Amino acid sequence: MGGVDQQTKNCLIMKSNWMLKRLLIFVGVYFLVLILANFTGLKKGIQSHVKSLGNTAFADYKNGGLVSFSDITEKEDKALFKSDDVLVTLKSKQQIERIKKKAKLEKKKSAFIYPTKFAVNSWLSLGMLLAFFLALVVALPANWKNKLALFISGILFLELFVYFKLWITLGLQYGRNYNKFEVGSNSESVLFVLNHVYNIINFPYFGFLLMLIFSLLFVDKTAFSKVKESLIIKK
Amino acid sequence: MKNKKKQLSKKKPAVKTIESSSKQSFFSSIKAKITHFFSHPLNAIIFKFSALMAVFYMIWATQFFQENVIQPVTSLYAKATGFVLQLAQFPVMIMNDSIGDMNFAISIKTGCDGIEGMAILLFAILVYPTTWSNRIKGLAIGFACLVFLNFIRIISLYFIGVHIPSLFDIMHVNIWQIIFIIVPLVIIYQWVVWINKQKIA
Repeated sequence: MGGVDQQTKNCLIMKSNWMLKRLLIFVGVYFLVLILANFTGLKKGIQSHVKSLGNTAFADYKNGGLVSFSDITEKEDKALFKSDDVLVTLKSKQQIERIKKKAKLEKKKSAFIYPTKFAVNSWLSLGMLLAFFLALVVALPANWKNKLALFISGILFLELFVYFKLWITLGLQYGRNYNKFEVGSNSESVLFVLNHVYNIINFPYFGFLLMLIFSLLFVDKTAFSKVKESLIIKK
Repeated sequence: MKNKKKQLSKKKPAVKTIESSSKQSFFSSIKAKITHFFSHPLNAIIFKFSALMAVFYMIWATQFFQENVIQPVTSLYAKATGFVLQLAQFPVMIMNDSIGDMNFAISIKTGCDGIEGMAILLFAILVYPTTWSNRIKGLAIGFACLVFLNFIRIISLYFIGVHIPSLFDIMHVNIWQIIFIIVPLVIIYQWVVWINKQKIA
């Protein structure tokens, strides 16, 4: 009996060591990515990726929307969007036509088009989630082939998530400024739903949780053998 | 001719049968894959957990929840941490959900309340098949740990804001949020190990 007790003790010590090891790997990788992001061009790369994703996917938004994602260069914008790094400018074909017609009627040679601007923090939207996901994939107990497959599918999932976030944000912004742009929907119920979803998905914690659930669902569980005993579920 | 017609009429249904059987096999293989996916106990648990978290977020984002749950909780945290800092001879003022002095103040807003970490813990413990007594013990200890950790978070962020303001954003966004998703996972893991330890004993 004494031998069995010792075995059980050893097993439990092994389990806690296992957890500590995985935790240390996670923390190590996460900090490494944070350091790389702050001292190399990683943050800049993520910013330019969010810009290109936005410009590729949403340059022509729905029926007449014109969207551009760019750097924040103007002094006023920098002061207004202190913590963000991607400027999103909204216009619409309908708005431009209306202003052109008005200028013609008033016999003016030029007219101002006032866009609506808002900004996105690319690190909060994508970079931080990527760092978290990478650290998680490396720390999870799976073979490297499975980790690679999980990482690639996770990156695609993350891209879709960022795309969805931008889509919801643009829908909400166009909806709120419907009288100006005549794009999207100005229905109160649609705006309510968009606002509700926006509040949830733009919260960083939600993104972390989403990536965590994705990783746990799609990681190869056969490699969980070391902790199998602690995860046995008896119905 | 009659024989040929008979043969043709016989052939048509044969093609249909092949098509329908291939469709059937395609759908049945997908069905089998889905069944296999959910037959894994961990996947079934994660799926249930995800569904509960989705419901939680739907409620969490409502104005009612923000006004009647989040705001009172953040104000309570501000009062409690302010009180602790005052006890430790730090001259801080407390105002609604903010604590600080003339030079620096922090406002405890949505996300700094630890409620999501608690929701992760609550739903993971609820979906795990065990006794209610084990669940209550896990929740009591887990919630206490998370509340304590949140106090540490607020106090540490206050001191970082006062002494190393350049580190405030990194600590607030990049570090403490991750800690608040990892710590509930560690608590859940330790709770599962504890349940299995009990089974062995």
